[in-house]
Amino acid sequence: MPLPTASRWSRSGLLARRRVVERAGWASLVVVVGLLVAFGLTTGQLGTLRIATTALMYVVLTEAWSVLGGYGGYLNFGMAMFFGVGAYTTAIVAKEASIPPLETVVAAGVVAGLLAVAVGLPSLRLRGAYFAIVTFVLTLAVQQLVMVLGITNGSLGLYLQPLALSARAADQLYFFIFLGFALLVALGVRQIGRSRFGAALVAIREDEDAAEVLGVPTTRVKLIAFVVAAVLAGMVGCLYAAQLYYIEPVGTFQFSVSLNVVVAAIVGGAQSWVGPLLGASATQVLSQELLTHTQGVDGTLALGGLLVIFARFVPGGIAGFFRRRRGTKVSL
Amino acid sequence: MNNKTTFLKRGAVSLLGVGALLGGLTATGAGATTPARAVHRLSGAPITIGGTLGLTGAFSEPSAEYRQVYQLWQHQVNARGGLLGRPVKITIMNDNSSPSTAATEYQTLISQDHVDFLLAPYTTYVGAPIVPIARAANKILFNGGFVGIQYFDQDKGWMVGSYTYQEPDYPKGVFKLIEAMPANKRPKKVAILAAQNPFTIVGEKGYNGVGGAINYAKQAHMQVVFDEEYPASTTDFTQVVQKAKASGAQVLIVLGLPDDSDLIAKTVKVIGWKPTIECMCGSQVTTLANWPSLGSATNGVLGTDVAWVTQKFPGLALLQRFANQRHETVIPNYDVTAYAILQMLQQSVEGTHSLNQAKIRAWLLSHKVQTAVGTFKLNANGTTPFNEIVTQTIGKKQEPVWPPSVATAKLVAPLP
Repeated sequence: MPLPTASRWSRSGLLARRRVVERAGWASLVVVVGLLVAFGLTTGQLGTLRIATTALMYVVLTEAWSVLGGYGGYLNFGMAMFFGVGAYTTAIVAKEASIPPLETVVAAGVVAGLLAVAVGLPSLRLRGAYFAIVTFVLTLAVQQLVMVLGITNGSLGLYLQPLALSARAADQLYFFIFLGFALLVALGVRQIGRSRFGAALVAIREDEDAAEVLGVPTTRVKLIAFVVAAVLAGMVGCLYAAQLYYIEPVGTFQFSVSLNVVVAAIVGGAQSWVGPLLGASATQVLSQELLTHTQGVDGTLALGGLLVIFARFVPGGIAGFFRRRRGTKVSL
Repeated sequence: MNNKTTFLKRGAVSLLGVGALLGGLTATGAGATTPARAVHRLSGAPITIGGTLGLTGAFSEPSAEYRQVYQLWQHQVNARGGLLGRPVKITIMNDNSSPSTAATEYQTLISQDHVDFLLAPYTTYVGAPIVPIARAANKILFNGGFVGIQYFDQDKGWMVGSYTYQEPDYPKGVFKLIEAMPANKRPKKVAILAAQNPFTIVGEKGYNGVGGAINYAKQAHMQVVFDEEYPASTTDFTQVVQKAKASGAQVLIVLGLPDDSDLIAKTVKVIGWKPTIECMCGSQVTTLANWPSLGSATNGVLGTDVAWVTQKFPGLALLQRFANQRHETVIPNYDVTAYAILQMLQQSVEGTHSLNQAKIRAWLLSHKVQTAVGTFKLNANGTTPFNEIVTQTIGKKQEPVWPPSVATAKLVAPLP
């Protein structure tokens, strides 16, 4: 059966339909957030609360990644690098300045952002697979550096001071911080998608040379998007370190952080702010369920399978699939 | 890959082994009844023990060893009447060798599954974040999975361990062995290779200025002529081993995890280096199933262990049979520490007739326990008193060469 297209409806009908879809989308979001708040306030199941917190953490990371990766079409495998640098900034600053880890969140974002400027200026002149490889290799390089530096305590890692709260109160606090952070970042990414900056990124994705000819300062636009992602990843790294109390180079810079973000974006749909919300939640819950209920199955294997299926059959991800099914854009 | 295939085969053999061993146990009177009948007599809700292991990911092989022994102990205890007359149920979750996943799962075990006891995960970097989580829940962390002297010190007896030497002391036995050599044969120059991993770095550098290969070398009046840390994921050691050889070292101390230690042993053989002493002093790799498959690369190589079957500690004979059924001649170190920590748990519960964690902690710190790693009273920080065996592989046979009270063979160094 042929899919309906915009041309089959009148303009007013299409607009009315879009308004309905938009309202339904917002209502769904409000309901989901309300349910999450109620869950966070009432649950005593701290394991489930942590799984939800991890999913929200990946929502932030995937939304941040999607600015350059989704709108701009640049495959960035460096999220683990900025995440790890943020975590280490927190651990070092909190220790040296004797302040609570949560108070270092801005510093973590700033340091990650500065690193992104240093990395992005040369690497964003590269395109396609070359840029992806550079971000991957730099992550390994930074991890190696952290393993040998005295200030990072090398492979031994660093301990952070736990919050003076009960386990439940601490886990609730981090859940609500990540929930608020995820909402803010998602709405921010939505605004970027509707801005001239977002349009410039889309132009770069569609045809970078043409965008440049039309006056888009491509390198600057890409660099800003890269730095935005890095700052947010650094802040997430701060929260991760504060919640885990202990960080060391292997676990903190593990490639799976970058990989999970890319998989979540592809599964959810990278070219809208809704995709990362759906993709990160779905992939994280799936991974955790696999680990919990099937002891011998590697979650990475399952996610790899999912990646292949979506890349082959649902190239726009979950969000793109529904958009195509309706024959109109789901616009929130 | 070969290792993976071997691992899968070993997993299948191990499952059969648990079954066969349980059959053997019941037949030989470890329980006078069959497990099924004994379980039938048990009453009340199960006593639950929970933990995580990296059943997938980087540490899947050692984690599988732990799980097998936990299952073996669970069947054995239930066959003998359970704990306090109640059945015992061990729940192991898969942490995918990731500290953050492990942290989440321990919260699940504590707050949702409400387990009575916690077992630590495998290896230091996965286990470190779990220490404060268990402490916040007022649970003792029964730790047969990792060493970490600083975490024991911080936790003040709320974590109890079954490793008989902590990471600063990993190379201690080998240096004592060297010091015991005749002065004219004693090597003077040492090379150290350490994996970039929390416990191996402490094994290299020591803790608070005490222990570690560098300090032990100084105490033995030896010169450290080469000292290098490498990423644990390294797959080609040719260059680093060549450099160690070129340094003129007579002793090679390797503080690594199983896979990299195996690779280094192979590389030493391939490049034709014959140091007077070569020790795989890290993850007790010489006790693991893969060791004999390295062939002539193992000849003369020293390793360390927490116990040896000739010490006749409770449970070692059973674990030796378990190893034999899997066609292994040496009991894997992980099996011993896994079994010993559950022996401690069992004896403390039976000693206090209680599941109260504070009472059990107090009991553990004040009473002797009889385990597969020895009979002893725990140190105040929850560690076991120092006890290390140094072994040497000659041909296809591995025997203890230090301490003299356990040695069944003399050190051969250098090899003829």
